[in-house]
Amino acid sequence: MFRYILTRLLLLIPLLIGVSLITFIMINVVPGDPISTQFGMDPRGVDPETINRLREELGLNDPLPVQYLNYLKDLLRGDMGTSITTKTPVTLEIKSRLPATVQLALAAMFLVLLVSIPLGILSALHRGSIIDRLSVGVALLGVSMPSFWLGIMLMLLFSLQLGWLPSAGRGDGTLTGSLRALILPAVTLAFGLMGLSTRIMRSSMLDVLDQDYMRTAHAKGLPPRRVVFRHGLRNAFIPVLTILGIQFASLLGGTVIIETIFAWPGIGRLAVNAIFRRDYPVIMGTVLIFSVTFLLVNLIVDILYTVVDPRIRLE
Amino acid sequence: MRALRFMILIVAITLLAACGGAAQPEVVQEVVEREVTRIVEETIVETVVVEGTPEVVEQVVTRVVQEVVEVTPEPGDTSKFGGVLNRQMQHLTQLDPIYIEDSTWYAASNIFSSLFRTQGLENRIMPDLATSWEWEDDTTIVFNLRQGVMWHDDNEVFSAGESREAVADDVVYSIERHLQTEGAAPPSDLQATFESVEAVDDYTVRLRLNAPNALLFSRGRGLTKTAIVPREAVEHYGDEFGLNPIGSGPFKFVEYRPDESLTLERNELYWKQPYLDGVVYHVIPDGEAALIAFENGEVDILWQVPPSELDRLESDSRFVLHGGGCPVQAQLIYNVNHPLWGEQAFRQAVSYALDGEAINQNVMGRMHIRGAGTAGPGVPGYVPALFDKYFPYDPEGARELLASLGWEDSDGDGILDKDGEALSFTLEVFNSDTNAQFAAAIVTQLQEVGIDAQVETVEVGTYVEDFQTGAEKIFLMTGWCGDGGTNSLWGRGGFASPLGYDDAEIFDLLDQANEIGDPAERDSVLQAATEKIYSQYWGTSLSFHDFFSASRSYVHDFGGTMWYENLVTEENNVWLDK
Repeated sequence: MFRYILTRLLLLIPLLIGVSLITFIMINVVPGDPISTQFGMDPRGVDPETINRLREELGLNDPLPVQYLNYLKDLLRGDMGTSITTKTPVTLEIKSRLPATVQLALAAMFLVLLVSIPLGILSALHRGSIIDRLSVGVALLGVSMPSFWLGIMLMLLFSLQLGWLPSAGRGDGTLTGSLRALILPAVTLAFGLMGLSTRIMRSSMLDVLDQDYMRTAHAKGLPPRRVVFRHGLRNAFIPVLTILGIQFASLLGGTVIIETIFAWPGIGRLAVNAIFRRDYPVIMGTVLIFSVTFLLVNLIVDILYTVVDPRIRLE
Repeated sequence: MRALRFMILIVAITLLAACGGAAQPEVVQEVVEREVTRIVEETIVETVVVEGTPEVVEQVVTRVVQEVVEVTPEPGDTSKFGGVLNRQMQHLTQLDPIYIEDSTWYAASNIFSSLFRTQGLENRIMPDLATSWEWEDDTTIVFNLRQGVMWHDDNEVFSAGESREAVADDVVYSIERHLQTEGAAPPSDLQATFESVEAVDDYTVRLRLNAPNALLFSRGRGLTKTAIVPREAVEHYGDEFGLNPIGSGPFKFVEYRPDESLTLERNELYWKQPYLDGVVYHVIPDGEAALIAFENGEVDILWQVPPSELDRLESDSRFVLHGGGCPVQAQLIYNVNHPLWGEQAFRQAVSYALDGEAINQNVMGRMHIRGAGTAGPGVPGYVPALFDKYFPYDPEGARELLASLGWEDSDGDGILDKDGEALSFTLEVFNSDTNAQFAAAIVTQLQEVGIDAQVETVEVGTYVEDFQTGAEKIFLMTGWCGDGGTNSLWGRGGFASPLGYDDAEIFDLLDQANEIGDPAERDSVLQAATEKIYSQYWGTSLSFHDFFSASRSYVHDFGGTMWYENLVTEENNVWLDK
């Protein structure tokens, strides 16, 4: 397994170079650059000489291959550059947003696990029952309800009408304040994800329930709960784990809409603002971080397969 | 069991992460009794020798650091100390003033002193670090500085009680730094006219220009983008000065959380004691969410009231609206290099085809301001008669003008054509809620006179690129306001020049206006330029709109924000009556 992990980690290097190259090409193909975007429409008037000087200082007048190689050189030294807009090192920009993103992602995944796994199992066990229909309804709602709408509705109800929860930000720094601030964005985010994982859990469980080994377990006289949890759940969990892994990795990449509505200072907002402002170093930095996160979470999911199903060997 | 452990682990990690953010100072709202003189003390442990013995002991000593004269309230005045003002912002960036290019300046203007401040639409100039100034001649101005203004203390650069006075050398350093630092973009008028700045003595600064500069005191121009900073703090923090700003303004920096909040506390050393304990700027980018937070009382000041909510908020006694005081223009701008759009008659026809007033009123509601031009009512260069004179809604007149250019509906499809080609063009707008509404209304009205306009919505970066590369499109331009905008847009080398606008007479008038100190004379020259621009239909004006912020009714003495956010000045001192 160690060899497998090492190989996967080493594969990150060419992959990241590829990602950085594609990102670099894309941001340079898109019209506009950081300076024209920032000052081009500024009614206060920044003269063309200043604009040209700023471009020169940022190396934007250099040929693209030179710009890319300079970026790679800095990156190899661990320098992701400095934000053109905020004049802050990109690493600092990302570091300051990561805790918020991780916190929201974990909270949302916790809620997804808490609801969708039991609901998926119950609907599979009671196929066609009210619980099953209810779970289908919840899943359908979750998938089809736009998160920006749900977020605003929850905010109107729980913040404005009832005054129970804050509508924006990460709270006042106290434990209760932070948890209260976390509830609405986490619920909004989780609601959209629950649908898919509940349905996958249900169908996967239904597949497993029809398997011979389940019948054998029942025939052996094992208690139904033990049959379901010991023999059924572990086998049914693999596809769910895959989906949860992808969902979690996506969450770690930031959830722009939720972060914007709830004024959550996450990495998604950082990336989108950087794109609008053509803040090249921040765009490059966030995309690289997304890629690394995605690959690492997938690696962890692969490792978790072996925990859930010991028959799986990573080679 | 493993599943249970996994769940417990998830809960624990979530709780830890929830505690991850740095703690904000607890907000304690208390009413402090007013007094004429406020004594700032510090308690220190001092080592002393017991008299008559060799014994050395430590004793706690309280000493006076400074005496601050506070505002003596007028009889009957109910203003009170205490409370934290929570203000919503759409975004915030770092706080090094030379790099600030957005509304972060609002917050910065409460951390740093400037030489002067401006207030309101009339750009009224108020003293700040400079208490007075006089022009020695057209190009030399002398600023007399306020004495006893101290840099914020209790930080890595100035220990508590060991701050120093902000003096003329600091002003010289700050102006030169703004003009010379890599990555900074000082206003073009200052850059072009600056010659030298010198400290005559500790409290006198002389600024020399190489030509008269009428924009020196205009918001966003001249010296209004120069905040005064202490050299040792800039050198100490280097690139991170913007994350650890030290100024001499009414509030001290406490904490900046990117994309989340900025916390400031009262500067006890300020020359006028602020009533507020502090200010917290909350970043809430979404307009709907910000409105909820405002109504909910989570923030006391709302950045911008959505047009549809204006009447409701105004009729609610819990809220007070504040006009932005800077009419924002909306107009169509053409690429005149295009053979058809280069024809003045065509631009005039489009102008006649559009009921700019109705469109603007429909989109902006009560924020609508009737008028035409780049400078709106109250801004130098505004011509009151311009709208009626050049932009009447006259679809019949539009058809006649188009017919005079040879455009007619030969195939009866409702769209005019000429030599087998339909009269069609692309209207480019950048994405915003109101721009989409503007574009829809424009296309509908143009269709009525037989013009087929297709809307292309792009984000700002693409829009600017298309504008600057002279793309063959007609642009809807919204968002500019304030003095100097006419020159920035239509002047020599201005924003619109890649679209082929070239008229030496207009350029000369605009250049000339930049150098006229007398407001009335300057206004008339700018008006002449404006008249020339719009008589040739360089742009099709659709009127102006104001924008409104709102505060809770318990926020007193707040006059809105226009470039400077004046929370504590010689004229006002914001206080809360929660």
